[in-house]
Amino acid sequence: MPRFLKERKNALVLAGLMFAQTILLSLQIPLGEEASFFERTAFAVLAPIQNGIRSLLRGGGDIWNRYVYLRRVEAQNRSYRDELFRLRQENTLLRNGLDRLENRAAAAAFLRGLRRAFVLADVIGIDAANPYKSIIIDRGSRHGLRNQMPVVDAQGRLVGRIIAPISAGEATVQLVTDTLSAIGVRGEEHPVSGILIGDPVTGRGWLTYVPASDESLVENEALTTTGFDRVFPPGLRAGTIISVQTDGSLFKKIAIRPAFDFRDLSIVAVLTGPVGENE
Amino acid sequence: MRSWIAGGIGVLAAVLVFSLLRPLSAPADLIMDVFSVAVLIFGTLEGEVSGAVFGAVCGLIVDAFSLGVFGLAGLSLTPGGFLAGYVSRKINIQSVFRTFVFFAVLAVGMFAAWAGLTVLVGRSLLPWSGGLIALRPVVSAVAASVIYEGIRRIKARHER
Repeated sequence: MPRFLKERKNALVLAGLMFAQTILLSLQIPLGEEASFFERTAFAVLAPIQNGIRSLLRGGGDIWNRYVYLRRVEAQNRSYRDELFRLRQENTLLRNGLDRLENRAAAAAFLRGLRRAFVLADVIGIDAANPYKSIIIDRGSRHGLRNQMPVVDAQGRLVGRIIAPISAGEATVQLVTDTLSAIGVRGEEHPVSGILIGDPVTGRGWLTYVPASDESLVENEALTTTGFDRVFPPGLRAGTIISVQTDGSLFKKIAIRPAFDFRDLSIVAVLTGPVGENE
Repeated sequence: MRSWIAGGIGVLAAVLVFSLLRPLSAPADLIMDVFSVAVLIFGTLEGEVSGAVFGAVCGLIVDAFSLGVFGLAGLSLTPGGFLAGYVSRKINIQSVFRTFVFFAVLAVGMFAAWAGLTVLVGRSLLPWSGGLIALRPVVSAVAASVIYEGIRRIKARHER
């Protein structure tokens, strides 16, 4: 190796690494929103590691909770027993109702379909650069997850949708608070539609394309999905209006608080059935 | 070889802590950049080349766990790791305070580079969260200097 290169070996390594990453940046430009090969590969390699770490920690936590820390177990058991009783009664009533409405075969098919309509998943990670943009869940293509499937929280409130990269056992969820998230919504009380755009800076969102002349939408009104975008089924709770302003432009400036609670996002459900079958 | 093993352990430790922070609270992710802390410590311990490579790897991990542009975080972490290794050999960082100041300067530089690149290349704004994110370089520098001091004392005890 020439002496010139030997003397500057370290600087050349740095320059090489920076150059490689700049090339990596430029490679993504024609792909737009689609995940690049490098991103898919890195996700496929790293997401299982993160999943493994979370599983290990959960295992340790389970041992602690199951065998050592047994405070309030009795009260919890009583509460679960009551809840189970209530749900069983509700289930029986629903089954009876179905039997009356349809013939037995159609009702059985409906119930079977209902079981396949969603996949439960644990949140194993959040976006490393901006927590309001995306999360990673521990279910992937192996569990039937595909691009654009809607994701809701434990209360059925809209969280986001599945986007690339998706590996066999893990998937990325674009949150409704991401800038690139656009969801067709309307007021629960007043049938005014608009597009809900996320704002990852504040963790909130904006309802866009509502004409300035419209006076019906007011603060504290809940918003639900319209289903017009063919991604999210209609009727999912998406957010609540926190302020309505008019700034002289054609459209109103409406700030939205997302329906889901970011601090309580440990389990989510991915709606795997097509639009119209998840209601 | 030893450096590669240490790097692998460092990467795993960073992913572990990153995974642990999430259940604690959402702001913990914002005010503490685990990967910056790992890069600062590793670069200072192992030298500029290892620091740069470690920074590049950590950058790829950050981007793999993020919806942003892939390759963006590495552009701030790679020179951060390199500078941590290079400058720490040129100046005296023997006391805890000096280590903290050194790490704070580098953390602010890495944060500024990442913020600038996010706005310019990623075309997105930073998650300010009421200014919490501005604490990130300071918290990262405190964490890095405490961990580095711990490693230094363990090393000194072993050498004795």
